[in-house]
Amino acid sequence: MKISHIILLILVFCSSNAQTIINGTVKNARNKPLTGANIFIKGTYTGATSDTSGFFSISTPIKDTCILVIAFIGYKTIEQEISLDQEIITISYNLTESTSELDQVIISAGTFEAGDKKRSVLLSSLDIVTTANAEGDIYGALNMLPGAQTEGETGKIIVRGGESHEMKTFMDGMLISTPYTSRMPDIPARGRFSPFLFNGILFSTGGYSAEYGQALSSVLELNTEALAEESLTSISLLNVGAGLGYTHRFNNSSFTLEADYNNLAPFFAMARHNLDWEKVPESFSGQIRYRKKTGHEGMIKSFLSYSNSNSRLNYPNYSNGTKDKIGLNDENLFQTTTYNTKLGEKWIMKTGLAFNFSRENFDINNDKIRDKLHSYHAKMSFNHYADKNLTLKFGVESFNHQNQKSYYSGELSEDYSQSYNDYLFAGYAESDIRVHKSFAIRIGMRSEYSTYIKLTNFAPRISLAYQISKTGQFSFAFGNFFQNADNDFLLYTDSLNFEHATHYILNYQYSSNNRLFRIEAYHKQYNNLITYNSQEQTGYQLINNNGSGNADGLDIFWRDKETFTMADYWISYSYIDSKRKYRDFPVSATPYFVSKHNLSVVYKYWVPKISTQLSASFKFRSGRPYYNPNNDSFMSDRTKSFNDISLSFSHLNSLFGNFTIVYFSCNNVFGFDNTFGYHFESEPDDTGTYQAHPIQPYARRTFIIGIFISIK
Amino acid sequence: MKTILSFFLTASVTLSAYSQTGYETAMREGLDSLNSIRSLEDFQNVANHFERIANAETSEWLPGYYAAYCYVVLSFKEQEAGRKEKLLLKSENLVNQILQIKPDESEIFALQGMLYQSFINLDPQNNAPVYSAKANQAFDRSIDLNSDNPRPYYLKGMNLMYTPEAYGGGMKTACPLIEKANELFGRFVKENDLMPDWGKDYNTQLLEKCGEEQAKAR
Repeated sequence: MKISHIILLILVFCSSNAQTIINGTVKNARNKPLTGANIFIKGTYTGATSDTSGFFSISTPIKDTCILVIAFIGYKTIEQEISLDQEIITISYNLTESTSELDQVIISAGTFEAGDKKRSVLLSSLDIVTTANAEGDIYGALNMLPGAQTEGETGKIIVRGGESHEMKTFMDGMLISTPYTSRMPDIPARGRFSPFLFNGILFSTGGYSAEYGQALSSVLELNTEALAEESLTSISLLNVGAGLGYTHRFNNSSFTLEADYNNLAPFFAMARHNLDWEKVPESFSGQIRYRKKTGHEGMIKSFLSYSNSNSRLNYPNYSNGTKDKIGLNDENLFQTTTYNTKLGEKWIMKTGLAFNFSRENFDINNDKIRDKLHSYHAKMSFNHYADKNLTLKFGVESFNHQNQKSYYSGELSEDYSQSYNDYLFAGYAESDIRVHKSFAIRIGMRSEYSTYIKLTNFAPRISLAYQISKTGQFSFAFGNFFQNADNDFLLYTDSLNFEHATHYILNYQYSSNNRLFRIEAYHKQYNNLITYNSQEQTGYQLINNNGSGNADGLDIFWRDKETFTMADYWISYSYIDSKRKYRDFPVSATPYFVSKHNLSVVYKYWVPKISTQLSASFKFRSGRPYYNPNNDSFMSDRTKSFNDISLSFSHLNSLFGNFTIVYFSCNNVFGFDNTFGYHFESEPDDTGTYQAHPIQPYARRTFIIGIFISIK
Repeated sequence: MKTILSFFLTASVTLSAYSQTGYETAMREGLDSLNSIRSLEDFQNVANHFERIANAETSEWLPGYYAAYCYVVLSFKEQEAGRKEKLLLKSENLVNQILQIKPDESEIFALQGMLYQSFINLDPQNNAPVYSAKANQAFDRSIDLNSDNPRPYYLKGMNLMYTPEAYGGGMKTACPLIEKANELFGRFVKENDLMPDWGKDYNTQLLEKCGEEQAKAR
């Protein structure tokens, strides 16, 4: 054997024999030992598991330095370079819980969060589809949550006594200016977009983040899915229309094309209704979705939708006893593109550009009303995760609204036209500070400038959350909220102020594994609401910001998925006391859209044997105020209470590997006779009384039947 | 000079052979402890062991597979829902990782099916509709890839056996699958000794239950 061989052998022998021993303990932040943590030298098999006292011991032949990894589920992984310069090294580690975990204090006043997480969600996208009464409509499902009620005759959501335009809907953070479909008088609208598009829904009934403005009452944030999971063809057939879609999944991107045709003729042929259609609603719509992963954790999401609908209705005219011929043709284009990316380890940048175009053409006998809206929204925001206890968010955004409304009188052959063009610039900053594991505070500020009314607002917001135990938490929120007056008023004047609301919210929430209870009390103060003297055919007279109002209430929510096997139910009750002196109200009064007591019960039962979800819901609303010209006391009349029991049935099946849903729903199964309010004739009859005509649902019962198939 | 060179050549050959056998030795060691497990802590121990190997051997799917398997088993025994979910999410993470390494492995899809079944238990009302469909898809894919694999049949059968008859489970639907699994377990030959080979004993127990049920029926 050559000397060189011997030297080499000695070298190998020595190094493999001279072991370094690393001893240590792993504990949590409170110095309690952690059992089962994995401690190992990066890139090797060498390692150990901590025992019941958190102790571990590793021996390694490696000299000089190595990277030691300490990992345990639910805790942040530590990677540390250590030098192995002694025979025995003793180290101890304290692991901190990872911040993204569910059991930490989260700011929750006013917010209902829903997502695709497997547990602990309040309402998931699938819930919306399987909630009886919702008829697959997002806004229909929100209606079953506390603090929200639907204005039955318009189908729009009223949050805590705020008008429907006080709620804004966002898709991936970008404004949807026209979230509801166009509608004929007394016929409810629906949400423009299907709940299947979204995997996360955040519904806030007050006290929301400074990221959102131009909403006095509520914010609904819809988050779309990232990449489609796989390529597939989808087919839907319903008694209200049919749709066809194709999704292609590439490695780092996905592309979806969808076309829908809706025609309510089969629906109206089946349902008993009180409408005199000349042409039942018919619509075409198309959608393109594109998703692309870019670089390191970046994502581009692009969404484009277009729809065009037509209908003609003979609608009673309460001033002359005849019927008006109303025709509606509307066109809507919505586009949003967002790009989010990580900038280094601690920064996230989110940018987006959205465009919404809407055209509604109403023909009423020989008159024509044309309403055109263009809106843009551009946004850029930055999130900074300084450490687990401090995050910072700030951003800028701009909105442009151009609205033109023209009126052509057939009788006079005359044209009137109004328009306005507003640029609104906004900036916001907000910080979440976790003062303690059980106490968090959020402070935010938002400011906006509107070029049309030439005014600036400042809106401070603050929220606190205090966790009293693993299951219980108190939250408080306060905030100022501003909003430009509705388009209808801005068209006539630019000498208006922002409408303003102040929210105070106190919330207690109990959540255990599969049960959730929350109770929330609030006080909302309205200022600078729009007032006017009268509404003439040519527009509003003397528009001002002299109105004010308030809403005080209590919302209670209980959801339980645990007590009954395979069953899930929730009960929601809202009490509200709200008054306003606004619009042309002569005195302060409860507005016509507010019901004092609101109760909703939803019960869902999953039957695995037939893979079917059965859902039943009950809805009670106490009587709504209405204006009665025969009564001298303004808005002192109440309709009778509203009752509804609805059923739905969703059967899930896998036909030849194709995922299929058969869906059936029936609203108002027992045919309760409900009234939303009254239209009064414009002239009194011989006895001096104004005759009343009830505003009722257009059909006593409504049915939806459909089948959805996904083919891979 | 020549000899030194030849030494280095042999040395490097031995070293790489050593590292290959090192992998196999470590895997065998892990499988031995998996087969002789006595307590819950042992499962965490074994999971950690396999995860260390998975971290070092990024082109092998088996270490991640066994770690993911351990986490599903750990989740069965975990009572606290939050912790249970974390264990399942960890397992899901590992399964996704090994699917990148080997996207057409029947055993991985069988494990994925078991994982999805476990997600159902977390919140049956909410998760059952989606996850039972997902679990069935995973089992179908597992059978497609290797129709001789007994595990998808065994897991499907076991799940049905513990599902009440009123909900579409029960002996009648479960036993044909258990029998099929038994037949496949009988002639199952591993490609090599590191490949998965679990479930046979418990399947035999389930089969006995099926036998008792049939005897009663007569």
